[in-house]
Amino acid sequence: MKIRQIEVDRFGPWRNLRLPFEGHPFEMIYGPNEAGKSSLMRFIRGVLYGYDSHALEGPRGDFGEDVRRGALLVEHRGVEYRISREGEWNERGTLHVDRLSSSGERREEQPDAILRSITGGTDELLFQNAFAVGLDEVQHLASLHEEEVGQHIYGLTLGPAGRQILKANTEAERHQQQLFQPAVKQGELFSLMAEEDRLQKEIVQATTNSGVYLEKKKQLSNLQDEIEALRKRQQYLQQEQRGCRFMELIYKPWRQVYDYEQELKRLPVRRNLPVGGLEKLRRLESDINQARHSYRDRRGYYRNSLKQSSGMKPDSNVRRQANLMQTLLDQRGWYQDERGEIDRAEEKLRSARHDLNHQLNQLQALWPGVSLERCRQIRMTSGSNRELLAAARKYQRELAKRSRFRKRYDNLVRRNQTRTAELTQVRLDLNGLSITEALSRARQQLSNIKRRLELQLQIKAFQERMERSQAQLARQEERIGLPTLAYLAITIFVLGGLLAVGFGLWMARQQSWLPGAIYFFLGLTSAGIGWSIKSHFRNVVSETVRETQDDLFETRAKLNQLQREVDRLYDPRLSDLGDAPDTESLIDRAYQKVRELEGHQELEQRVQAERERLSRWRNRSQDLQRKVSEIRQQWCQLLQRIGLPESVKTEETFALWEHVQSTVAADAQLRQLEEALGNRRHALDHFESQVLRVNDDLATDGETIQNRSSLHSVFPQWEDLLGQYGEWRSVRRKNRTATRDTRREVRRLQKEYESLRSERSELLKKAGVHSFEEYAELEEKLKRRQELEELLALAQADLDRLARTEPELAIVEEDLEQFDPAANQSRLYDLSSEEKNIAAKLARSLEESGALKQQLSHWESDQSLMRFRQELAIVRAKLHEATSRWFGLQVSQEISGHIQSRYERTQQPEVLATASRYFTDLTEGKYQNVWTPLGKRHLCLEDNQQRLFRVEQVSRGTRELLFLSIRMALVQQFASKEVELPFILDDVMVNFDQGRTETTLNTLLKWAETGQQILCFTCHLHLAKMLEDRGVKTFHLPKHQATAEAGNRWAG
Amino acid sequence: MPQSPLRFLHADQLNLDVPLEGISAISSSSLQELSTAPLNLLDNLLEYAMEESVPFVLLTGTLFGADPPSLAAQSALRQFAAELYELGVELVLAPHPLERQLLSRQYWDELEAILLEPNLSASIELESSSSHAHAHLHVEIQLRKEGSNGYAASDPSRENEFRIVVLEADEPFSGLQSLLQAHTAGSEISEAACGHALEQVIESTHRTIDADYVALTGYGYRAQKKRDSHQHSRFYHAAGCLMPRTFEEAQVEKVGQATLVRVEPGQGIHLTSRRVAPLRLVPVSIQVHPADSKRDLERRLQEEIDALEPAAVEKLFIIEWNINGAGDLLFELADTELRRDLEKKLKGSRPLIHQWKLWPDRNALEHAYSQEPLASQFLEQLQQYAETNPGNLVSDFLSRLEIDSQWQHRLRQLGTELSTESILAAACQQGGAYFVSTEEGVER
Repeated sequence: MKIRQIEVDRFGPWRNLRLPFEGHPFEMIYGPNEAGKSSLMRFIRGVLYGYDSHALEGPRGDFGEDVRRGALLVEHRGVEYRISREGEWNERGTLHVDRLSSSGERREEQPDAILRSITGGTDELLFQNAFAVGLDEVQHLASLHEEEVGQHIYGLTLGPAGRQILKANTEAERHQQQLFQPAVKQGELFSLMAEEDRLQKEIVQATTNSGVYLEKKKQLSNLQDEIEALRKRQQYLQQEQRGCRFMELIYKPWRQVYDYEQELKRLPVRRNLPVGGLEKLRRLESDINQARHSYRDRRGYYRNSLKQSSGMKPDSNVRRQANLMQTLLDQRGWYQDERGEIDRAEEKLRSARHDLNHQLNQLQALWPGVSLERCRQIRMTSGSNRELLAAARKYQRELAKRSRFRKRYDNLVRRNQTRTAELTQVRLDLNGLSITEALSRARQQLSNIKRRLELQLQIKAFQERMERSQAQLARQEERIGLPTLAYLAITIFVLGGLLAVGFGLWMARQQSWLPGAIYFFLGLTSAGIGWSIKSHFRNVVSETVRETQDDLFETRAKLNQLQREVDRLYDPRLSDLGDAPDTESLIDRAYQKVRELEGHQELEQRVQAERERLSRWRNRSQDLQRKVSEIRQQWCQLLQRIGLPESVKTEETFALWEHVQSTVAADAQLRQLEEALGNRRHALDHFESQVLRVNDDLATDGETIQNRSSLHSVFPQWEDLLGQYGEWRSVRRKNRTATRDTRREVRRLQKEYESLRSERSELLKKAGVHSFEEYAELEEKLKRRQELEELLALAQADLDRLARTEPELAIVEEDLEQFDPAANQSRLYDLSSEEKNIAAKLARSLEESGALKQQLSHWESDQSLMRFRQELAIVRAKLHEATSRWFGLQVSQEISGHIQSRYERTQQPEVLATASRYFTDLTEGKYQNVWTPLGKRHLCLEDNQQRLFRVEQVSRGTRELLFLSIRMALVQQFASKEVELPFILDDVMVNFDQGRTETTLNTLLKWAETGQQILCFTCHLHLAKMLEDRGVKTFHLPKHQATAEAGNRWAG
Repeated sequence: MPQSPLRFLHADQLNLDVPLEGISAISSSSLQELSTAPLNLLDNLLEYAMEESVPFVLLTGTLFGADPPSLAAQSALRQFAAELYELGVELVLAPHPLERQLLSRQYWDELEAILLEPNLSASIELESSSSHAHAHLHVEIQLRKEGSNGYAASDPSRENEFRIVVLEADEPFSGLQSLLQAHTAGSEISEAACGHALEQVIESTHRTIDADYVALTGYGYRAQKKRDSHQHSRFYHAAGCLMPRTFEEAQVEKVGQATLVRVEPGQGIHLTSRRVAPLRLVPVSIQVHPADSKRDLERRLQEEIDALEPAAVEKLFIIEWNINGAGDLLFELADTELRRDLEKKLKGSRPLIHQWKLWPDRNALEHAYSQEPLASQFLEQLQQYAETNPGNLVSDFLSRLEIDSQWQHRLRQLGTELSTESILAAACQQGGAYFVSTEEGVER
């Protein structure tokens, strides 16, 4: 909206004022003070939004008017309107909007709606704060805080980013408050620290208890030692008392036992005397006397008869040698036979000696220089024989094995030499190539040939495919045109459609539009369908042809590629295989060559394997040789051990062994015969020497024999002598029978006498006495002893019964012997009183110890220290978490601050961004930026040295420039939203210096050139002149017509 | 090597008084269960010893792990030793050297156990159950400190003698000392380098120690991964920490297990490990993709739970869900209520405690939201912090805040215990919810 003319019929000081603006967007209206400039501003605002209905101080308005009336001629989007308002002095007024056109004026039915459209829905307050500003508004910040203005300036409707930043800050602040408020000492951290302090105190307390525990424990230990000592003393005293009482009790029975024992000691030890012993002893005495007399009489008679029979005696030599003589006489026949046997044995001995000499001679032929002694040293056991046999067999087996192996080895060597020669020939044929290389080359050739064959087949296939594709392409090209009939049908369809369209148009014009429209659209549809079918077919066929062409091209490329590959695979060495009619024959030849080379390779491998085997066999042959040597050494050692001469020929050794055996056997037989002969000779010599000795012994009575061959002559004499000796022996035998009877009688009497004496001695010995009197006295004493023992047993039983009452106390004889009943009584009294004292002390100590134990047990079972420590650990974990969070908050807040700061400078509301530009222009670059902290309602400035100022900190002029810039930006902002209202300034530049004023005017003029209408009221003539200098027409307000009937003039 | 069979139990790092670390979400009933878990562990170990009828139990490494040890733990160990003694099972202890000094001589004397002293031999005479002629078996146990003198090889083992050396790591063990010196402060030492250093330690001890079984203690979980080596007929074994204390430790295979060592004549040494810890810490990593829904996540979590094979003694599983990757789901999980709902839906064969850790993958996010200017800016600036030392980061922020010096000090202390990655994960979680997410910020 642009104001074209102000028509004031009656308003404030003005009556019938007409201010026509001629189209320049910047209009300067000059009028001195009290000319009514501000009233004009109020008038404009009043017409647009309603006259002021309050704050009028006079009874009929400020200027005493009854009615306020006037109009604004405005242009809005190319249409001119007259907006008039008329009302009583205290009313907002009635609005009329007339639309002006060349045809005249037309009053609008809905003036409010039109006006809202014209003013862009702005309200009066916004108009006053943003579009029509006076010095007051420019000087004060408050007017910028109004809701709608504020929204634009302070970005109260922040974008998502701004909201995020603000919310992050707010929440961080809240969390920080929850965690830690140092000023009021509140928050989670404080609580946790307090809890930590409490727990540490608890732990210190519990630890102190631990120290006290140790003291108490020591105390208890001391107390227990004391109790132990008291108990020991008490026990001792009780023991002593019991001892004393026991002594008193036991003394009398003990004394009695003691007396009995003393008497018993004086009596002989108890022994068993036979019953009626004394009587028996008396009878034995009389029997002994009688027996002694009978024995002595009979012994005298026997001695006399012996003296009579000893008168006649034979020759003593004959009597002594009688038995030997009889024996030698009996061996007389044997003696004669033995002599003959000895002669025969000597004959055999000679024969055996001859045999031995023969054997020895034979042996010496095999083993020169061997002696019989040497043969005897040889071990001729069956074990040696077995050993020799086994060793010989083993030796022969090893020799045979070695021989067999040598034959095999020689065969292999011969075979290998043949194959090596063959292989050398093959290598010569290969012209220096190794068989493996040749084989690899042959295989490669074979593979190449195969690949070539394969590629040739592929080329063939591709050629066929290409031919097919070409044929197909030719066919499709033929098909590309639809059949003529189809073309005809489509053409008819399209033409029919076009006709229908024409008919439809004609019908619509001539008759009725509806059927015409139907025909028109029907025709259009038919033509369209026909055209679509044709296009579709053409497209489909073209597509197929294109695909076939692509395929053909691809096949050709592939074919070229395959051909190149075939060329690449050509190998000049294939001529080695000879001329071949076709590739198959070439493949066969290549196969044959590969097989041949494989055979050579196999031969090479076999030769190599044989060489390896030969190497192994050489080692094995050496092993076998080593083993043979070893066994030969064993054989020789065995021979040496047995005692045979060393020889590697086993047959010779065994022949020698047999001869040795025969020789040794002959030697053994000879020695056996010699031994047997010796034995016989010895027996014969012994017989002869005995005969000679007996004969020498008897020589006193006859002749001695000089020659052993005459031994037969003594034997008849010996037979006579032995006959005489036999007669004497029969006489003596008769006498002896008579004497023997007498002697038997004497011996019987002697035995009887001895028996009686020994019976008596036995009886006395048993009693331990020597006489009959002593025996009688002993019997008396033993009777007394028995009585005493019975009494002692009774007394001892009493004593034992008393002793059993105190089994722990031992009876000490010495104490009882020295026992004094009176002294004992006194000691008993002392002990009893001391024990009472000790018992009292013990009870007290026990009580004290019990209490201590209970206390200690309570402490030991008290797990509070463990619990406190665990609680402390938990609190510390919580503290760590809370501290982490707190420091995390600090970090987060700092980063958030940085982000906010950057955001505030770079992401400001558009109004402030525009205002910054104006402000920079108006301050000639001294200030660079205007911004407002996020979420705050105050402005900050940044100068060209990046110093920050709050708006309150800058000078008044700068502040007015800033607010002017902001209004300009606001107006521009609204204009961009198609809210186009004039910008009306009422003496806002009065506080500017010359430079700033000029700059401001220049800026405003520049802005006005963009189409923004600016109405500038001023009372300063220099301003008007300044503008006039710049070609701007200035209105000089006439003096107002109103008389100050009300007396008050507030305009200007 | 003895000619008679021998069996014994070896367990390391009892840690009776060390609390479970890194758990923040827990109910009061679970708290009681956690704090008394070490006591239940001793019951389980006792049952294991009874079941296997071993002649002795070897406990190496830290027994209590706190100064001072709690009276309850001391009492429990005393009770454990007494019950073993009643059963005729010898208890051999090779505690941490500090613990040997920390507790009074009276305590150790009262314990029905054999306390190993450095470089002094202890011996156990055993009646062999074998039908072989060697009815007596002499087990000699010695405690040696790594790098200490007195490694002189003693007489070779006799037929009926089994020699055990408990090799205690130096602090830090000398093999790693040179490695640490070679690295500048703050630079990461690779696991391979640690492993190599440990190899060298073992190689050096090979030449000097003559033993049938070397029980390594104090070498930490790193030693565990490759340290069951059977070389030169000597057996080097580091049993896992018996009571797992952190999720990091829990990643080691043998943690929470006691080892049954079986020596078979002619067949060498066989190790069988069995879980005895009453609870198990299970660190699980889950990768979240932008297209994943809540149902997908629930299914994958349930699959992980189903894959757990509980031992009879285990009464509780504590699962640390390390959720990483990119996508709105990751930011939504910051909502406690959502996590509670998810936890209610997850079922396991044992009661479960869930510990959540969210690790947004910045690279993946940058890639996914490269077209979003705000997200790009946020992640780009976040990346700049990744190269900052955590100490400097904490100091920088604290110096800008006007808070009381006492709180500054505590926050600084806490901050130095954090990793840059955890701070950045929290930052990404906080800011990412608004800048990165496609939604206008996830409601929290």
